Amino acid sequence: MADLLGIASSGLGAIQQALKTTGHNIANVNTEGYSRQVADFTTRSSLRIGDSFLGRGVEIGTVRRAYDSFVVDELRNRGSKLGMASTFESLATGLDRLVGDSDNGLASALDGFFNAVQGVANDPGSISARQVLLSDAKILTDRFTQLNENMQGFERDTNNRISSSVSEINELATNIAELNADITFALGSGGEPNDLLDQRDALLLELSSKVGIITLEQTDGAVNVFVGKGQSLVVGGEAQQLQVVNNAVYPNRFEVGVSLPGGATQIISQQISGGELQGVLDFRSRVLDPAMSELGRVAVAMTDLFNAQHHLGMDLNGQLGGDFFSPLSPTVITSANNSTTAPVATVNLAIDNASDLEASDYLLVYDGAQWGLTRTADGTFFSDPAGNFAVDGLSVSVGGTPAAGDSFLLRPVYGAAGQFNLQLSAPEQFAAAAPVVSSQAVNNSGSGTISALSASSTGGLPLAGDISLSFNPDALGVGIPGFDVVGGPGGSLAFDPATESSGKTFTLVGSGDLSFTLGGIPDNGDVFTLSAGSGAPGDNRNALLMGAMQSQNLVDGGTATFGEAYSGMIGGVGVATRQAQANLQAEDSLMNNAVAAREGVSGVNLEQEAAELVRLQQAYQAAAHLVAIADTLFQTLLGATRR
Amino acid sequence: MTISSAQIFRQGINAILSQQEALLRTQAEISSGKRIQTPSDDPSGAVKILDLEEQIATAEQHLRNGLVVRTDLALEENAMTGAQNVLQRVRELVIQANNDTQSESTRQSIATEIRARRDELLALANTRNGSGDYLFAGFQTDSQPFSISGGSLVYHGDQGQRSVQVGPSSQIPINDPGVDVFQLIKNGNGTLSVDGASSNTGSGIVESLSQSGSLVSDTYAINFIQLSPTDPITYEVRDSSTTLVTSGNYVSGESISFNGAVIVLSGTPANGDSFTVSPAVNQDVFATLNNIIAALEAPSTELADTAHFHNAMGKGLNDLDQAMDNFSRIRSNIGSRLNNLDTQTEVNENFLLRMKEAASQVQDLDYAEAISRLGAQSTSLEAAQKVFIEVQGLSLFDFL
Repeated sequence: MADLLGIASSGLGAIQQALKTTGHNIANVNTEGYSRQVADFTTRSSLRIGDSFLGRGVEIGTVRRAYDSFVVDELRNRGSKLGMASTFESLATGLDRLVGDSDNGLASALDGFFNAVQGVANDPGSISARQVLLSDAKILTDRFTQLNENMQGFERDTNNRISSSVSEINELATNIAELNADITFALGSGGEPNDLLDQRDALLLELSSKVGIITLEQTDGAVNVFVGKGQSLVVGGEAQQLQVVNNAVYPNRFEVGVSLPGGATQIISQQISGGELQGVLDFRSRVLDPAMSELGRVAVAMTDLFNAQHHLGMDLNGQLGGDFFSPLSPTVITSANNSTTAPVATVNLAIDNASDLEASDYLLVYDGAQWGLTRTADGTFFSDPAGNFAVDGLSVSVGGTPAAGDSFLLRPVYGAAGQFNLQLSAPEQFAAAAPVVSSQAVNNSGSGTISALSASSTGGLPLAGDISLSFNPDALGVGIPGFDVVGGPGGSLAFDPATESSGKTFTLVGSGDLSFTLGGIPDNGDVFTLSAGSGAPGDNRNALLMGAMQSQNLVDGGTATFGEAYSGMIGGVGVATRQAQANLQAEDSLMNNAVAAREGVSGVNLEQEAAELVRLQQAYQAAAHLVAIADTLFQTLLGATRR
Repeated sequence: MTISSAQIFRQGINAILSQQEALLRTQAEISSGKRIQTPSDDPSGAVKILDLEEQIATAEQHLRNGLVVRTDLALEENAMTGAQNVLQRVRELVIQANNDTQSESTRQSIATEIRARRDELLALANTRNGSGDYLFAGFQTDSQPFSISGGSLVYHGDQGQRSVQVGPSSQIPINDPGVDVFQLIKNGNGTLSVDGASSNTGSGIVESLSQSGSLVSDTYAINFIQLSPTDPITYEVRDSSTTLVTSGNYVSGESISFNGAVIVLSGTPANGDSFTVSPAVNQDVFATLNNIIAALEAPSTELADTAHFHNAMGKGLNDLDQAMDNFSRIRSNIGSRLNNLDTQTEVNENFLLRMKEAASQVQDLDYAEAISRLGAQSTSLEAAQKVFIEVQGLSLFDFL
């Protein structure tokens, strides 16, 4: 009887435990990362009586998690990818909105500026047209600096995200290490600490969304966590801390590092794969840097080329044109790790040809024998033992005594847009006029003409004196006609009216490298004069040349206009953002699949639990009946023996 | 596979959220009327729009520049029409004065009128445009180009010609330097010019001067010789180095030809009279008028004076014709520039239209499509919401 009661009460107990488990499941239906628990019924060991084994009831063997380590690994893996994709996408979308916003847009400012140049060309003597030009130029430079500043905001944002990610990672690592210790202890004292395991899985999943991780489960139940190329983050109950360090060469740029034994810090930014951290680092190197460099390149090209043409003009005061935009000088940054033994290595960087500039930074590194120059945008490498380079419109030279490992960051364009500014202050200083005027003597009797006069160098300008060209049928010897040149370079210019009356172009080297076309049929002694301009109020020749720069391919090795270079930058950001969005969508649905897979294994289904309740309830009722039956049997026995 | 309750909820809500997102996107498109909200919506389209907008802005600027050209050229054309009218009137007056019936006093009054016309021409040469710039001063638009000093014309401008950009590769000059218009005018017939010596005493009058064959450019003197009144009048032509070129008997009204020059004289030159045939030189139109005025005001008492007068008038007419030719040339230049401008304006307008159409195609929303998309999306959203409520409402617990 006692046995029967024992069996019945074992059933009641076990079923109660199972009911509790089901209740626990129902209660945790909305708990993130919770794994459904299953109470496994096992038969109690039986009692041997003679040849028979008599059952002794039931007990709960284990309460285990419905768990598949494969789907959980996959979930973490996807979590890393999704973390990366969503961070990249949100940053890229922000930048995309910024550059796409037409109020921020440079394109209309660029159009306005060149239209104002044409406005001056239409009425070069008008101070108000010149005033409009200066204010439109100011609007243009303000747009550049504004846009650059906004982009720098993104750079700061990436830094903030890196440091907040790193501190979150460190906190998560600490918590995981603590859980490791608890779990190891719990397992050591027997039984599965299901809820601790779930908590740790949830933390690992959160960690994987910050940074890509590799996990290794130890026999004692602890999980070791590694980042990058095997740098340990959690080993058993010990957590290692990641650090935010300043880049040695790039100013204001955070990197992720780990402490090495001995106190040194190793930068692991390059090795990080996955998670928000990689999303941030990728955005910086693949979207933000190229966009800022491109913007800077347009600013540098505008400044250099527009100034160069402005120098070749003459203002209303009869002075040669000065700088229209403030000159931009390329930046050289010396690595903080460079040798400090005098004489330290120094670098000279100059822009030779702004049209040939690439939208990139350059790293200049000395390896002990050679200087190597790497274009960071695409990794193109140049080397030279002496450190003299003439590449991409730049000239680089080094001084001092370099030590192996010395490195420099050369930034010809990056950030230059922030310094883009108007230099000209007075409207009459705009050099709309050409520096040289041509005239023919009033008493010329022939039909000779002079035209298409232009200067291409400031050397020899303004002209010291008039240069007169007089036609002489024997200028270069008897019967060889041409012009005798008096003033300037002197000498004679061969010109045969019989064959060259349709026009022949000459260049006077040294005197502004003036080029002009002589044509028609001059008579003996006919004179043409080139003289220094006076900045006449009606002379718009230089303004026309500057206005024409709008449609000339002056950027990117002569393949793009200023406007096209800018719109190319917009397109670059747009393409990257579009890719990021598509990537995020794909990662989102892969993540959904992974979540569905995990939920399929470990999720709580209320219907299932309800059915389980019904099943357990019935079993409980049956076991309770068994108690009643045992009781009845006992009473029967008592009744029988009372007599 | 078991589907967890949380998963059922998540799926339902995700479906609603993504429908909402699409709906909002469509709403933004419809309210802005633009297909591309940010560059990432269509990167190549966004770039194309920026490039097209630049083209549009440039074409619009070229059209505005065209208005400047039109205004200035119209003004210059007005001035040139006025100048032509002046010369036409002077020409009539000279022909009138060249008639032998005129008395000294009528010639005087004609001279007075020509003087007034000359001042009118000077005023035209100093025309200013709307912004106060002198039209005929070359680049020196702020200084009055012409003034009279010591009886002769002084030009204060230069030989600059200002152009305006009216197309991507098309510039149109909007002025002509005054020196080209009023000063660089060949005298005589444009190639040769003939003058009677002031010491001539006969009645020889130049009837015509022309070229035939290849001209040997030089200054020639035609000297008349009649040693005694009974002798025939002979002539000899000598070049600048007094080498005899040709000689012969003079017959009134017959041509004398030498080295490509053909000259016809009439009347009776006296012994020692001479005429000089020289290559034409530039003579400003004011000098031409001044010469005419001087001849009209010269006393005419002797027979030779009449010949001098007729020669001066004949030469004056030639010079006037050259000036009028030059004015016509300038006017026809203006006309062809205006034609060019018309063509270019039409090109610009067509281009602008095409660019705007292209931009609209890339950028503008297809409203019909977007509205029907909006309808479809709101239907799907409603469906997703209904399904969510249905599915969430099902529970076994309801039956326990």
